[in-house]
Amino acid sequence: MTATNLENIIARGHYLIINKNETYLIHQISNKAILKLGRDVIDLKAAIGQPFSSTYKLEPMPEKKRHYSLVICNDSQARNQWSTNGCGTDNKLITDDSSSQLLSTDEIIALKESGESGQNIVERLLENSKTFQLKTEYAQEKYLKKKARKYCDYLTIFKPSIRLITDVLYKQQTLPKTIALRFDTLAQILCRVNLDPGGKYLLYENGSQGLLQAALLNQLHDNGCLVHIFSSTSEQNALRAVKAMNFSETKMKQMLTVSLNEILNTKNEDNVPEEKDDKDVPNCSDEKKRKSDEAYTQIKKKHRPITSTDGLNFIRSNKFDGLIVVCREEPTEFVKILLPYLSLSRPFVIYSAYREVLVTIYAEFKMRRDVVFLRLTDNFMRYHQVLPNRTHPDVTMDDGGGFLFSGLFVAGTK
Amino acid sequence: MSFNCYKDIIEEGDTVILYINPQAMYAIQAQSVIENRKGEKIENVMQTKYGALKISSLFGKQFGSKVSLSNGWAHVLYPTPELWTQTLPHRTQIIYTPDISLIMFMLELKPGSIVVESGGGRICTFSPCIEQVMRTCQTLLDHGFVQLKTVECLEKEYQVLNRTVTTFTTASRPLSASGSQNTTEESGNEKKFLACIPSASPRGHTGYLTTATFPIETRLQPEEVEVEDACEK
Repeated sequence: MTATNLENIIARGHYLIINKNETYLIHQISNKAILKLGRDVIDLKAAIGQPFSSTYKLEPMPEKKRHYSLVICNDSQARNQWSTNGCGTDNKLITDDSSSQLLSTDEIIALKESGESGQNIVERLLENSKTFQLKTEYAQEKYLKKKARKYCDYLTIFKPSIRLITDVLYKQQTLPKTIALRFDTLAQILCRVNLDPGGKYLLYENGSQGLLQAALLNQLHDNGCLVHIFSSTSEQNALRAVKAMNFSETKMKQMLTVSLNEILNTKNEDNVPEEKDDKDVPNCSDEKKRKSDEAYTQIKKKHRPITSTDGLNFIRSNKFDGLIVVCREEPTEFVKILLPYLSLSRPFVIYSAYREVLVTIYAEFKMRRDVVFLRLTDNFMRYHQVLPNRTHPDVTMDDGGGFLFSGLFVAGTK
Repeated sequence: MSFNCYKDIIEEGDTVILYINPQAMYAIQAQSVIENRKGEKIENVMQTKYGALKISSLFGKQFGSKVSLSNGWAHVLYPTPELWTQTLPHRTQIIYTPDISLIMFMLELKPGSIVVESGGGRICTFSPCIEQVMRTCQTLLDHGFVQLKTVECLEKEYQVLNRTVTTFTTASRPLSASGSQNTTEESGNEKKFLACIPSASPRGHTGYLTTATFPIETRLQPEEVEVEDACEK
């Protein structure tokens, strides 16, 4: 078996994407290989040694309530399917009087705890529904979909990919605590910065749980290089997405980390030496700042990323192929400092959840002679339901993609 | 010249983007000599809104540098795929950056991935018409594809401009206070602000992107199974 194939086999310590019906989650498979999902406890041992993308059936363990083990089941034909027996022409006779289901809640819970399969539970529900036969074909489909979600006996384990991780993180994140980077925005950042797999990239990221680092590392070839500039106030789980990708050590070495303060201090030496010692947060009433930014977690020293020994030198002695900024802070000041580290005719992309932040920087950059092709955009993105005779855009859409400001760094006045 | 690796210095034969402003960008072939209609070799001189540019003067210049036109100046840029789609003459249906970025992202493409126009693993289709999408989805479902998603994504671009609006003073807000920050004399009720203005006629439709996954089945041979992952390296 080649090394490439081994990467596709589930092993202890690996990060996995667990998919049960509509929910996806990032999970690291431990030695015990136990996954707690809601009230259920699932033993994942059977998945170890199996290839990614396999589907498993949850088998109840006879001795324990709501404990399950996995049995591989890649035959999609065998999965939950319920036969319907005729349907109504409209739903107008159906009234919601909470009496249509003859089984009581307790009876249903008892069924579940007795280890009855989801297939059988839903069949019992159908048998005991007074109204199911009266529902239209469409309403029946909807009903079954809803029940399937609740009593689904199957889960699929995927190999973590940037696409899946982005979706998982996006659903979990809430502003202003963390940056909820939508997949289309991330995809666009990668395109706008014209990612060259062998290029050298400068990234300032704070708040996306390492999604940017993971996405860039994933796209870089062996000769590519990423410098992650970090802030002293960073989030918990700052490298969650990077860890979830199961990157090799060699891959991780393509990323250098440098503290923003060190770069700012270097710059200051040339100019007026400032008194401020930027060891931590700029000391403008520390207490107040901490309170206002409850989201910012002061990370204990040992967990804090450290500037790689050659990171600063690397920045000083190289010109970069792109600058990406994704953060919760107002980026104007340090973007101005970082821009000259770019080679000429190279792009920069700045993300912000707030348009106002980018409008200010746009106005300021418009006056500069060394940036061209300035663009401020956001996305109108919506899903469509595609079903026979029922195709239309989804009724609710997501307008939280955030904003991008991008441009190209060029030679200023001659 | 390919776009997939940056170079710094412009040489004969390179593609160069001549950037005057966002509305005036041109992809040019850096050739010092071209043939005129009579088949004679002549010096390649490009005519722009701001005057002429002798192409051979670009050789040896750095991408990103500023060049003089007879009545102004421009920048010579390295041709990125994004600039390329912006400067391309639109002879046929072309796919723009927002859609391109989504296709690449949703197919999880990375260096070394092998892309086939159709096949197993994850599949992505781009269709301008909804009827095509409906037929595609039905066919995908009939063939056992799962996780069908259809999405459309349009980029909205904004201009940032200084604008002035007239404000009305009320009794509670005396005129002198509201006008104190204004530099313009006489107008005590003018307010300057930074306006963020959407494009007047943005692209309203490009196409629908449909993605789907072909699940692995035990009866398939393992080599066929991991189409998307077998593509690595």
